[in-house]
Amino acid sequence: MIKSILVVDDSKMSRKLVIRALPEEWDSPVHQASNGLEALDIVHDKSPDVIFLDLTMPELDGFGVLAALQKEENKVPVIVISADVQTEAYERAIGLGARAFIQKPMGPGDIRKVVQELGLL
Amino acid sequence: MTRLKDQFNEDRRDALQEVVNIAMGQAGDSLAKLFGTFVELSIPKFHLCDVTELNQVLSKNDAYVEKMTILRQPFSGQLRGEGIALFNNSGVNELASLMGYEGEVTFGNEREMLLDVCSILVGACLNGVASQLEISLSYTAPTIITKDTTIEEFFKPESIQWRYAMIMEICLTLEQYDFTSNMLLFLSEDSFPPLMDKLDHMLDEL
Repeated sequence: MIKSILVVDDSKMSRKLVIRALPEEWDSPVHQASNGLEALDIVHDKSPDVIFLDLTMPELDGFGVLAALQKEENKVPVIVISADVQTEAYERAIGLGARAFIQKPMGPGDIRKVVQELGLL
Repeated sequence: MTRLKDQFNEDRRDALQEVVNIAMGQAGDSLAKLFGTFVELSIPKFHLCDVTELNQVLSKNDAYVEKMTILRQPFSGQLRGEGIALFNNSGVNELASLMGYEGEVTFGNEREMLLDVCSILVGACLNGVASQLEISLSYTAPTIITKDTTIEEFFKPESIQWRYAMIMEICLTLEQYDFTSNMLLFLSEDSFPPLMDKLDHMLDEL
């Protein structure tokens, strides 16, 4: 059961796109962060059940967030949504504990497909 | 100019920055495949200025202090302008090993490498922008404008054909190599209305 969601992206438009694409069954509060530091504050304060995370961000990037969560042994499922589509970016993110990687621009249904595959729906 | 800056409100800037970010992700991937190494991408920086302010805007970036090789790739269609690729001189020297050249690098080899990289970088970025905005663009072959020059020496307002510059500034660096490339996208004044229409269309769909 997903009780709260965190969407992290420095672009307001991207956050809106992600929120609009969330499964309608998730009638849960959505928290938003525009950089990695804000994201970690929300993780500590609100304990979201799933995180949608961009990689290229100011202050602290997505790799930094994943590394911090790994260090804290925080097992919250993280789905990376990034424009950095290099194989190495994917491997680094998965290596740091991301559960899935969606490439930008997202296709319709990408988020739904991934959360279903991860058993979050 | 103030009116133009006002028209580019926060939402439009954010949307354009994200469009360029996604396009640069694709350009970075193309370069990573060519070089066989990870390409670190910066967050695109957006500037809208009169060309007389160009040096002042760009001088805030320390990367532009050193001497560079500068290439240009014009584009036209529903948007008109040019992509400018800037390579630090030490990075140009690294290109040969990155691209698998062995032995002495001739003037011709170096020229060919620079044009190839510029074409991939600017072409992939503009293709990414065009496909997201659902517009068509055509490209002119890239050319090397100058070598061993600084930004300040190069961007003299009288030598720029545009009155206003909308600059998307993006930096790519390669791990383990002293290679940095900055890309600037300039748009003509008559491109602003269609661009804003396209961005508004994207924003309306949210």
